[in-house]
Amino acid sequence: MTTAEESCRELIRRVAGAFRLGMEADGNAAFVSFVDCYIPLLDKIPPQRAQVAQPLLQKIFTAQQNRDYLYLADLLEYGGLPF
Amino acid sequence: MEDFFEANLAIISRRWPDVGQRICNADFPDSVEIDESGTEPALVVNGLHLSSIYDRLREAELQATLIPASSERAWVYGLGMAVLPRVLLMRSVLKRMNVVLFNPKIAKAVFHLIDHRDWLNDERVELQWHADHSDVCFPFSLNPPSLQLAEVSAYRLRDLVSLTLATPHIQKKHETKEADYRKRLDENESFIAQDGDVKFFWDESKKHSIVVIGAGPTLSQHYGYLKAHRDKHYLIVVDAALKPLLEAGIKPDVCVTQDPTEKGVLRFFSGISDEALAGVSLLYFPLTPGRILTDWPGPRFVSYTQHPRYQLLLQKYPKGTLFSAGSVIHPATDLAVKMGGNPVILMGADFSFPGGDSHVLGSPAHSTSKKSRKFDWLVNGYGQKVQTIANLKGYLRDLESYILKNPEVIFINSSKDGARIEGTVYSDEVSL
Repeated sequence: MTTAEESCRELIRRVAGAFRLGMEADGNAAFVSFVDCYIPLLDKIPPQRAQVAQPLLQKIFTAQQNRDYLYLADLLEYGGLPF
Repeated sequence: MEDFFEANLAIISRRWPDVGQRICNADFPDSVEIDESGTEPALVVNGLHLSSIYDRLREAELQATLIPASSERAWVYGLGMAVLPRVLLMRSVLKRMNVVLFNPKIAKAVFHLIDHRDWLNDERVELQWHADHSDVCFPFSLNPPSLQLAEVSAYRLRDLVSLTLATPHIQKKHETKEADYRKRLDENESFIAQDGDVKFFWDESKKHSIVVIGAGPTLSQHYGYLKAHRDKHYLIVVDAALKPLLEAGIKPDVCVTQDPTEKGVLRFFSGISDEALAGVSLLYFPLTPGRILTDWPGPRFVSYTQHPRYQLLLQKYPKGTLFSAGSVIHPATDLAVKMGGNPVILMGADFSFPGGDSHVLGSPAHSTSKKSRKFDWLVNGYGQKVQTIANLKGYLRDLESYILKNPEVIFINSSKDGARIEGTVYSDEVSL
């Protein structure tokens, strides 16, 4: 596992944990860090696998926009984001 | 699908008749769906999942960690699908657990669709309405979406719970800036040493009605009144409202500035002529950017806040302290109270975006909001929902707590278009 991947996984834990505990400010701050960390990783993933990420990321952003935070936490933790 | 409402309600009505009655009288939520796309079904109410669709037990166990394992008491804010109450009741040490409901409609749906008899029958459980709580009880945990789905009358408790949860985040943010703050204090020390003491204003003992002028969109509604009755009131303006107020031809007595960020605050003062500011005092705090202090043409006064970082300076240069909780409206209001203002009239203290505007037109901070689900809601003076954002909710609740601690002062809210401020009366209910 690369350092960047480890960082992303750690950020996912932080985002999901904060949102499940109702800590919205913490969750949103960590979510921004996660996006900054994960998007550059997509360029390094084989195109076929990276394609899987697109619809999932769309769902993730929609859940964040709708403030559906438990679902957002689920998508991040269990949705199967490719690394 | 089996309906558990009668079975659940029988217990609720026996143990907590008022709660049962409210649930009976409630309608169903606008939208209730079941999401079965994960490994566990979850209720989705008005677009929000009430629990995880993959592992709701793990989720509730995490939420339960907010309550120390040794605690005999627990408060649970929000029902959700009632996984958290069940997890907590597994603790043999727990003697009493209050489950606080935030919305009768959501409760009705959840009691229809899920069998809750096991935990409702537990003698340690007390089911309550939010209305029974004026403040946050500790230790607590919560089902976060239940707070987001709170009914309008539960907004204050919802915000107090959210503010409690956000406080460590806010403190952490400030801690990261502490080194810069120390540097600023060094730079400003000569000003702090020489400038006037906020207590000068207290000694003035104005004892008349003082208007605290915030930069909310509704401020412009009051320009006519302020012009016509300028001599009747002492005017304290916050920095973001200074330009629009001067442009409206109204000169305040004192301007309060507190934001330490140059980018945020310099724009409030740039381009104002010395002539326009003649006779206006500046009340600032030790972290105010130095350029504002050097450029201010009139008398300057300094105040501390309760923050421990000021203790050394306070000993070296003793001066007064004002209440501070994140917004400049807090010390501005405390100044009015310490000056003996009674009533204290709030204008442009909206804590929301009435009409979609963030600030009064002409304020350099003014922007127009776009409709978005990211907005939160508060209630205005007409009982209608008004858009807001999380930090404004926090500022409002802190001001309300301050107002409640000063019951001898009459606080008047001048507009019903902004957020309702608990503890205030409206200007149409009293004579100014």
